[in-house]
Amino acid sequence: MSGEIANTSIPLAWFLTLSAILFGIGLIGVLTRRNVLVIFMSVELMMNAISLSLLAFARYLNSMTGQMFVIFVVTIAAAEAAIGLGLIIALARNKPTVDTRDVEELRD
Amino acid sequence: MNVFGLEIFGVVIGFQEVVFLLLGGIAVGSSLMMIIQRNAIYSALFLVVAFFQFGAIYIMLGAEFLAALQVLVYTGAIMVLFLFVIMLLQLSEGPQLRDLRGFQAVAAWPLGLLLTAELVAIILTSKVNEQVANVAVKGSYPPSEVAKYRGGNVEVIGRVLYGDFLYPFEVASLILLVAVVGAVILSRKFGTDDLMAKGGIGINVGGTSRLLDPTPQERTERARQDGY
Repeated sequence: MSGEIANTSIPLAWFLTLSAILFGIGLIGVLTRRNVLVIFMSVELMMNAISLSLLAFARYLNSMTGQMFVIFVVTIAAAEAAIGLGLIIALARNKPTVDTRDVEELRD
Repeated sequence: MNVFGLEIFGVVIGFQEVVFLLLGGIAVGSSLMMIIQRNAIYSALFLVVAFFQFGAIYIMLGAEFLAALQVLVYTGAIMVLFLFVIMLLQLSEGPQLRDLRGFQAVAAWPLGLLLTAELVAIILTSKVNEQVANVAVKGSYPPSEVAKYRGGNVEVIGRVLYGDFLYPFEVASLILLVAVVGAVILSRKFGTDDLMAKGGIGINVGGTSRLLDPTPQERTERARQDGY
């Protein structure tokens, strides 16, 4: 076993199933919660679920492209977190709330 | 190597499978707790737990660098940023952090669960395992090839990232720069003696909307200055 990486015996479908379940949980979080911060966290969870399936495919196809994609997903997630939290702070300055229903100035 | 003498769906449950099921179970459980918890701080902490499980699963998939990145960037930077914002907004107590549930929540649970069930059913009934095994031309980085590099996974990522993916890498750096500038402009405070507030950059958050809609006095003042 020296230097040799053992071939994983877990089927690819297991990883994809886990990814799908976590994506669904994130989606339910986005749909059910009213707190902007929790909605944002759910989006992060969905992106992580996608990263998981990308990495699983990369591993089972012996490719590096999936890992590259995940690096860019993490980059975009960091940029999105910075912008999104900046928006939330700007929102909270105008109106002391993080409830999405209280922010409907652009309605109609 | 049937250590535990178990077999599920034709898959022999060995050590790896047990570890995977453990990590996946904790990830699913803490994600569920994340969306159920009423307090946003607990939600954030449960998400941190889930992200750690993700990192461990990434190691199982041979992506050691991304596992480190997951822990450093997601749990170390992004989630700490979330906690800082929760702290900064001072909403940690009282009704403001509590969610009220309405009609949307009632409809969202069954529909979300239905979508998840559909995805899982499609994956489990598809022949994805065989298809992946039978791909004619696979990538050039199987684990045995990665192990030949002295730096392992990290060195391979470096070679590919600064080789084939150099242009996307540069674009990503630009995106980060834009995000930094945007975050600074969005979250800065606009006082009366603020240069930027007078100069006309950024959105107004102070209630006195100097730039978007000037007061009548300001309008007449500007008109006088302009020579009307």
